Amino acid sequence: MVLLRFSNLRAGYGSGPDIVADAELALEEGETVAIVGPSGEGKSTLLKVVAGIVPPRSGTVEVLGNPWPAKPPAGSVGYVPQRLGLVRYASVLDNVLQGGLHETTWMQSLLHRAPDSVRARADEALARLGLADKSEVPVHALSGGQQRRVAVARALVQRPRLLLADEFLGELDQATMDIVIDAVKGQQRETRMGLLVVEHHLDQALRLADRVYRLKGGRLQPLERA
Amino acid sequence: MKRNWIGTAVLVLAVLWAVLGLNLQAARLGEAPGALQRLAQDAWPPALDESFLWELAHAMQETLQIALLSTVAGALLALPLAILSTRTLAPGPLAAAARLLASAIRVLPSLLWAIFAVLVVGLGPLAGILAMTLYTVGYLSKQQYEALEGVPRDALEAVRAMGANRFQQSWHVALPEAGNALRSQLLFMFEYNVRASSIIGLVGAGGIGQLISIHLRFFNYGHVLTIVLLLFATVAVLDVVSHRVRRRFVEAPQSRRPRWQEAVAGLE
Repeated sequence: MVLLRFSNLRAGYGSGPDIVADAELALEEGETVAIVGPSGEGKSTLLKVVAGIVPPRSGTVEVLGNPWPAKPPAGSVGYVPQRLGLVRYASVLDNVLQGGLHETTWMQSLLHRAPDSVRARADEALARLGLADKSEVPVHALSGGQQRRVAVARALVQRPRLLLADEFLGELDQATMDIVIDAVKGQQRETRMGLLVVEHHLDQALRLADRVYRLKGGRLQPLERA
Repeated sequence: MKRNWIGTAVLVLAVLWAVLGLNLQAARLGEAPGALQRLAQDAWPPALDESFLWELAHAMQETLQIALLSTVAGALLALPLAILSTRTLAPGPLAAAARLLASAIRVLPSLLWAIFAVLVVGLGPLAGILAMTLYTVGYLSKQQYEALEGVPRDALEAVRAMGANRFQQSWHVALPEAGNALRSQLLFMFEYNVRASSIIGLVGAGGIGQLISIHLRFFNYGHVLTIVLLLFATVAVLDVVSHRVRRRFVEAPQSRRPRWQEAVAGLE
């Protein structure tokens, strides 16, 4: 099944020029696509359009069969922004549990309680990412690499059908990168989740993705593997 | 350059307009030192008779109670209004309407709210609480929505993309992220309300201000001096306490998200 499809996509901010122009892509279930390119080329903007944060100027965007502006079902799309989007003054566990907000009732939300299933997934994700002993620590007290793992754990708890990740490998050391990739790929095997990642470094993109594209001049160009 | 000259000329003309228009009789300033000396002589020594001190303690207690209740009630009403006023949390038209409401409440200073409250519910602390609550809602909601709008956009975008509803975005992201600023504002508001509660008493809305008003009317300047000294001491103590608690919120990078009971228990 095609999880994401966009074509003739144009996007930008305010009255500025198009940052993304005539971009085209289709992403299948269980597939990983990486987009590489220099900073400022519009990779993050493209991801934000798919996440429903930035509206497209023209073209079609279809996420899980829902053409924009129709939204996909709550919880079906995960998003790890470049700056991670964590609540710095909340604990690691509180942040990770946000991945299950779409399964939480109003009352549970109000009382900051998570359903047992979400709590179990959070414990599992924290253990997978080596954060089990950090669950009560506030996020702002963690290192950059640990924060990145928290953001990934939150996405794993959500169990999205499509995960959008903006440089989620960032500047991780090799060991941490292995942990993160294993965790994400492990879930992808289990759930057939689609993964669209934006990466600055080509080697990271090649390691992660089935297909790699370069965003240049607003267009996506496929990169052939050597 | 030409614009600067025009600006300066306009400012000078405006100042002249104000000075001439008010007929200030500046010569009176020459009489001020003498009047001040007479006032000081009348006020010294401060009144310390037992019955007055009891009356004063009671009024001070009432002022603190008015400030506390109006801060709590005002904050409870201000927070939902602030969330509705935050453009990153509420739909645009709703945010605009909520801001309009808050600024309409803010138009009147606390003293005028107190006059209205006295007219509506009569003399006494209830009028004071009503007036200060309304003032708190107007003032605090503005501070709060500015803090909420300062919450990093990416944190909200992440949970929004994940499918969190508006309530969850506010409750699980914006409020905890802005929590330190919101707590700090609350303490500042309490401090402010203690000071303001002493003024609104002048129009009969209870508390220490009512006592000041009575003693001023009977030229009991010794009593007024004691009241002012106590007010000064109370505000100074509150200032120190509030500063310490706020410092705990803002300057403790290794601490977990601070909670009220921890902050209070942490006082030395």
